[in-house]
Amino acid sequence: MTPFGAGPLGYVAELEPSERIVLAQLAGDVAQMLQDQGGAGRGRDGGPVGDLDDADTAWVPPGWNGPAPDAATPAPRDPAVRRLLPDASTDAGVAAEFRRFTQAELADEKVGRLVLLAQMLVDGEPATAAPFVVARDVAQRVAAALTDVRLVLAQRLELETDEQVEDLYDELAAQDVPDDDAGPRRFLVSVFLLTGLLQESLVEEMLTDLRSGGVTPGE
Amino acid sequence: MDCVNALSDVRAVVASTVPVEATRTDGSTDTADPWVTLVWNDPVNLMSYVSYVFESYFGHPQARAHELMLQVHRDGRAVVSSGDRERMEVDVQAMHSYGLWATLQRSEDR
Repeated sequence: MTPFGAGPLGYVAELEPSERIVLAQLAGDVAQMLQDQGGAGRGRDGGPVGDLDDADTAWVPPGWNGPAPDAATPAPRDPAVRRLLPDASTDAGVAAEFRRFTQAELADEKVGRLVLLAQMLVDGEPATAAPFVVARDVAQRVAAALTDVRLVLAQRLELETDEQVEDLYDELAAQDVPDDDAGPRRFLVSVFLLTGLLQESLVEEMLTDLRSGGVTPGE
Repeated sequence: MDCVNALSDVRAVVASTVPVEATRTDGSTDTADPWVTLVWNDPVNLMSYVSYVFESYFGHPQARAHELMLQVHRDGRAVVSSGDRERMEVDVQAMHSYGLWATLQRSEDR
């Protein structure tokens, strides 16, 4: 992998085929989690979202097609999905109302970006290391999708402090692999660091453009 | 994937932002504004990304965005906008879209 730099067609990194496949699968996995638990694709404005059996569905007249007036929108049970769709207030009532009116829309938006990223990664199915071009008009969505992937990876790695994140570099550099359990974790760590480097280099280029010309990538 | 060294300056912060007009962008809050939007620190979001969100969404100058980003990183949270509840809900939703964790609350609860 070579980090992003600016080019005439957009921001350009170079990825190995294996890196593309891993990142595309991850993006697809996160999108699926959001669809399963976040209510993506199920409308908004009070429609039952999330697990239907958890929804506190109010009575409505027969044939009623409008929003269920008192339906609750349950918070995602998976803490990683919940991080992507977090509580909007320490006040439970405020948080619940916010979920009811925004969660499905937010989940839809995130799913759309993740699917876009996955499609871009596997587009053309390059067999060797090849440029990964992110056009400026989609860069903000790609950066946000990378953020969501990293947030999920961080939850799976149980990263809760800045120090734990910083220690990952040493962890990956360590040559001794103590036991079999370290394999999957080392993989997640390497992917977390890979996505971090991709996002960091992409955002630096986006910031340069934003500050030089008032261009807001993706807007 | 030799990203270890290149990532050595990566930090994690979460930021928040606000919509353009009708939202205070100087970081100050007016006691007349009944609600505020807070952005919370996290170990995942990059400092550069948080700065990008503050600059592009709130329209902050680079120096102000950097200052707010550091406040989130150092203090664990920062007030990024204030106004009526509906306005703050828009800001919080935007922050959540970016992947930053934001909350709204009544101004007097701070």
